[in-house]
Amino acid sequence: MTRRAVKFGRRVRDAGWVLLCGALLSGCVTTTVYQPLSALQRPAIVDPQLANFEGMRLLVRCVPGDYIEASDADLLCRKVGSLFRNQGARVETDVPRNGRSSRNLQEGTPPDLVVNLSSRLLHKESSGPLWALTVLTLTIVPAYTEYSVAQDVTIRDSSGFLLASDSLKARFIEYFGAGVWGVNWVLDAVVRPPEEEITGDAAAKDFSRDFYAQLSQLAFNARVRADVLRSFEPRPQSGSNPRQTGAVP
Amino acid sequence: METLLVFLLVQLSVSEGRPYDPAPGIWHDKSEARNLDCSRMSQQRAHELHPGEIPAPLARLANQESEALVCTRRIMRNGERPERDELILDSLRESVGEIAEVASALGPGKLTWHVDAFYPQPEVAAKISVAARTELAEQGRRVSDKVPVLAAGDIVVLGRMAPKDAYPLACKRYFAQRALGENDAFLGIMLIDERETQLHAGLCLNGEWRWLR
Repeated sequence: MTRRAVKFGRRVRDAGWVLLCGALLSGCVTTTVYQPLSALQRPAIVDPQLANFEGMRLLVRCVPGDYIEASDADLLCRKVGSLFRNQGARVETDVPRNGRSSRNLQEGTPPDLVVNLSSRLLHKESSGPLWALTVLTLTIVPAYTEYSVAQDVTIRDSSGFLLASDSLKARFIEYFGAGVWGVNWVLDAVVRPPEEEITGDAAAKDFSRDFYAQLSQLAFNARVRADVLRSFEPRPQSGSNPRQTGAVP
Repeated sequence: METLLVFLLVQLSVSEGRPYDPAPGIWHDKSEARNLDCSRMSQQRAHELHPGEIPAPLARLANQESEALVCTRRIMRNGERPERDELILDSLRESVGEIAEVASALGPGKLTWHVDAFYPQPEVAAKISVAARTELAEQGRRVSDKVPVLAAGDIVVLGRMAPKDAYPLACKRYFAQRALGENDAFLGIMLIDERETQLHAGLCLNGEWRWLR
């Protein structure tokens, strides 16, 4: 009787695992890990929730290329536009197509800052045999695709003078497999603090946080540099002066 | 139980059983990964830079370009010193090098160079000054350790002014009070706004202040 009960219990447990694996296989089997490579992990001082660009006119230009299509560039421009609008700037966006600007930039007053964004795929790696093994083992053996991207940022004044530039590089690893997802889900639930979690949309959130923070910092540095190079003369369309602090002679 | 153990071992060995991979995962947490500066380069170049850690590319794969991800640990970990100080000091050599180069070009001849840095933290200001003096000396300039000093009354007045007015006026006062002469150049390096992470500079020559960057 006891042996039968143990055997029955084992079967129930096995059935539970099969059900659990089936549930995992039905959807949540991709785990994306984000690693900042260079520049993105630097701290940023400027607070994107403050009016850092009050009264300024910004043109955000997102250049489509081999890696980023025009529709994605448009989406990027809209998001970056919102970032600067939330900081008090008047923002126009431009997604050049076939080398031509989507806006007539000759009309009206020139922008105070022109933010150019372009993306490059630096590296992509994925193993074919591993994918085959993953399919054969019902994702118990996981597969992965790894890629590194660079987001090049240049910020110029209305005359085209380069005020700031940087290349923000990130690496993403997409694991495909119920097992990887399950192990990380358990670690997220039991061991990792919220800021260290990996599953869900943590990678997208972390990258967005780093990218928008660095972009805000670069633009703010460019703004102050433009003021200094203009010897603090007011901009053609006057805005507020920067908050000036620090020691003086 | 055996099934679970095998399952976990497979995950560890295949998916994230890559202890040399610096990406966050089972072996590394996110904060650890943020203390690394990483770049991609050819395996050949990586082998030349780190011969003990990265093997040379295989001869039979000479036609295939293989890459390596090379990471170096930052000298100061995130959070070990204030964020702005970290950013300023991390790029100090480049920023001071650029400033000294521009200043040297604008102040030719046999001048004696005086340097001072205006930064909220005195210890960081001292590092900036020393770096700029060293850079100027390396360019063959005659550099003085002395910093021109103004009268207490001047400092009180200048302290209430915005930097755009304070530095040019200070320059005039240095010259008027003979703290600086015709054969002296004063290079001021400063932070203008508390929210920025870059250094600016101005040059004082014959009582005339000029913003450099």
